[in-house]
Amino acid sequence: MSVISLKVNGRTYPVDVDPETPLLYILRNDLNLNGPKFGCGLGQCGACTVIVEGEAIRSCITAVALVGGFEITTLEGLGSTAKMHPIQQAFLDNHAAQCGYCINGFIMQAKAFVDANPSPTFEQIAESLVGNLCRCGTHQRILAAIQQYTGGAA
Amino acid sequence: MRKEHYIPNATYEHENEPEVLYENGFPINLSKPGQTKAGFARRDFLKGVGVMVVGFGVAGSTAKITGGSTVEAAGMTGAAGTGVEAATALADPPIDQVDSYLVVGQDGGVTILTSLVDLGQGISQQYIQWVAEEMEVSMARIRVILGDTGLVANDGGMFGSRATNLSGAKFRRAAAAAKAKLLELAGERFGVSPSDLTVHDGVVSVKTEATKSVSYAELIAGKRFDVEIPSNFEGTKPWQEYKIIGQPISRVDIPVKLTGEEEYVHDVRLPGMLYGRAIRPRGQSLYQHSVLLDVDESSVADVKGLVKIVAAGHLGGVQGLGGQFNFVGVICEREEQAVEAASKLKVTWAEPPEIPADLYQHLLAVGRTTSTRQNGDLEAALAIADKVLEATYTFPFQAHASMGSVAAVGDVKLDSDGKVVSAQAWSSTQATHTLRNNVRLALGIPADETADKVRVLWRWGAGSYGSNNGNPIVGVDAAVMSAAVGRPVKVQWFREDTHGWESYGPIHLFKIKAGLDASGNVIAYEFDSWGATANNNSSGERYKFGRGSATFRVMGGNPTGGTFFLTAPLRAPSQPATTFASESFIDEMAAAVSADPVQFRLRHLDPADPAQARGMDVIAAAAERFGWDTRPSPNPAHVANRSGVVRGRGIAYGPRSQAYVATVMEVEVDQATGAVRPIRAVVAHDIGLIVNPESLRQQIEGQVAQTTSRALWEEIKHDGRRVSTLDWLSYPYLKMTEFPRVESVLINRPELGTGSGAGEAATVSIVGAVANAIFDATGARLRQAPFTPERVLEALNAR
Ligand code: FES
Ligand code: FES
Repeated sequence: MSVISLKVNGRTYPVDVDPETPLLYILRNDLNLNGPKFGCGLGQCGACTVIVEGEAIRSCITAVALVGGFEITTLEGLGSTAKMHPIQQAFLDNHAAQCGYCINGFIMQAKAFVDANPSPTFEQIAESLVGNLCRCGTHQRILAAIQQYTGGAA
Repeated sequence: MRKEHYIPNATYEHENEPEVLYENGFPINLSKPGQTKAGFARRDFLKGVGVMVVGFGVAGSTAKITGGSTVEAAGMTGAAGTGVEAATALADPPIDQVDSYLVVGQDGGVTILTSLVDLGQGISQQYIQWVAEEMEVSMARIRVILGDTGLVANDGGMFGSRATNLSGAKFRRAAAAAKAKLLELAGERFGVSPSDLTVHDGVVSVKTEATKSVSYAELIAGKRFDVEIPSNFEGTKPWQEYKIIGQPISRVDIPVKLTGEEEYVHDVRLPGMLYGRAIRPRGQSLYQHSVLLDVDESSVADVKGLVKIVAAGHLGGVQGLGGQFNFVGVICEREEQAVEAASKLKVTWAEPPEIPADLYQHLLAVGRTTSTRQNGDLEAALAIADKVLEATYTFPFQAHASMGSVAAVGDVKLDSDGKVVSAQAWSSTQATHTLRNNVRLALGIPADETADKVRVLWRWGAGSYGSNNGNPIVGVDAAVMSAAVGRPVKVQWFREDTHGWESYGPIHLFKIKAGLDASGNVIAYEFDSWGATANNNSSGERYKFGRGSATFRVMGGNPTGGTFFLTAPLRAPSQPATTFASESFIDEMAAAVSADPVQFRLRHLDPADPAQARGMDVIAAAAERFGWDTRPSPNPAHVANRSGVVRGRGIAYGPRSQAYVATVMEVEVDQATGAVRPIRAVVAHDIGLIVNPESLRQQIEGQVAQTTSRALWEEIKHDGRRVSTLDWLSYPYLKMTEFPRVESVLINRPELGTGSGAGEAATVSIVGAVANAIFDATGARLRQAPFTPERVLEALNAR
């Protein structure tokens, strides 16, 4: 065990765990965050995605010790139903969720991608999301939402 | 359950919860300040007093929804003043009473209660629309409680797209009956007849004297309707007056899913909760062979936080349940510790028997006729046919493969002797009452104490697409582990178990034979079907084949152990398979007589038959929207072109009970690699009355995406002993760049008064449409699903 200082959504949390522990478990179980989800634990689906220093990472395969001291943003850090982030609003406007289990991953992945590439083409958006799976098949709406968010045609 | 697994003196206790008062087993509506988080009552009935003491502390949050409406997962009370604290009783609420489904609170809000839960398709939105429409209450004041067995009537599980037919229709009738009763009460109050009254958002007024008005809450809150749900639709609104039904209203459940505010079953956290992992053999085999031989506890001696190892079901499975319930559980203080323990624990399982290499041959060998429908003299018709065609098609085991590894939370309370006092399980199962019974069996609780002691609380989960994606099993895992320690335990499966221990959609094999006359009409048709399922179905009968004769011989194969692998209905059970076969074959027939595939289908449908006429409408609508050019397949322009990338389009017609769907799919085929790229899908869809067109489009798009993936990639494979497709690499799913663009053509028939469910119908035609599009592009006929590049190359080479 060792104490790691985790900076999540603008707050700092000291956590005293095995440094190998996947970040996902800390976020979900110690910080009680629901946004990042356990989909596969293998880095294959994207459900657990969070943004670390601007980059979308898979928290299920990221040891907590690796991200100590870095700015971590989860879905909760973007906005809430009371005040949605524009990307969340774009998902809502496009009804871009069915079961919603994958949606955290898509929003976080797209947010990081668009931050770095403010005017992507439709193809670039789709390409940036090849590591995220949605079993409900909400793809078309997810892509439309991100297009709307980037100011492109929905 | 072996007794030594229990820890008799559990230290953990729930917080005290406020009491809820009951009268005759029904809640008296309360709106005491500060009672916003009352737990729901368990059936601790204090004899003679008529008071139930709340025994459950249920964590939860209220989901605020766009438009101010509130949807709640089961088991949570809402804002103060809704007055609906519980609707529980010692026995399950009766399924024929309005009171079991609709409760008016002190604030005039209406709560809908049902066992037909939401799988992510947004069905709760539909319930709200029906009740708002029929009761004249704004949607913002309606909330839904789903699948809490302590509260809802047992209408069975949510499957077979039955929510629209069953609950939708039921709520509609119940709401109309509730409104009639309220008008009757208001009429008595004002001394007028109900027809002199009008309702606006839950307030009844005398038409001619607007000052005379009374709210629903004043009329009924705290009391019962005591009205039976009518068996017919008399008294419901005529469709011409619908204001809410048919509107593309935004789903109430979506906003909280975009912000992390929704509480999925994976997110349920109870005080003192431990984390469990269930260990099963790596991939299922013949499932009754998951026999546990040994658990070497010393292998996890160094794992920190290990609380207990549970070996459930050494031989016969968890009491009274099948072998899929056999597992070894590790319970730890922290989740990562449970993961570590699960990966380190040395567990020895008996070697399972060998799985036949060719499952289809096996299916043919063990298949037996289960039913035959036949008319006319097939042989005679074949004998005079101008052309006779025959083909065999196969369809593999496929997985539900939910995005979330399945999870559940168990909370079993024990007395000092280790006997079960109560058991709760949080689950996103489609069938809450079935899980309740399985938990009862696993914990050895007598049947007559089920409703009293066991409660299943539904929570949102990852989409399940069929009744056994693993949820019903992990729910029992969690209860068994919790019972072993007398503390709440959250159990989440590993991805390999979610892929490896769910119940698959069964494999199928079809042999079809037909005879055509000189003018290209089908005069004989035989459809033989084998499948690892009891509910095998045929699909050739949708056309008016057999001006001469038609035979449908439906066979069901029953390999060892019933279905070989665990099988369960997977979205539109077996229909993507049967329709792949029959719609590919009709394409083959059309090609054999150089007919256009759309025209050939239309020619074999009878406009005088109402069902077939609706089929003709969707086929024509899909073709028109697509811009279908009338010509035979394969595209004559490509016949000489045997290399490079070519495009083609295919149609398939796939009705499902009262839903009529046709899909035109466009694909691109790389003839060098065999890779198929779906481009565009046009789906024409007629389910009768449309409740919410936006939800419907969403459902159609989702089904096209999912089933296109099933058509191209998905197949459960094994290594000779066990299933080996245990993750998203070995069981691939289409990537974001690989889905077709979907266009839906919605045909609304409000005059029919009812609509069929829409969560499965669009699934039916997709695989056939993809196969036919590949044929149109290349002239290569794919008769074995999925159409992987290797199989496509093989078919290309066979041209
Ligand atoms: S849960 Fe992390 S990638 Fe799937
Ligand atoms: S919405 Fe269900 S997995 Fe994406």
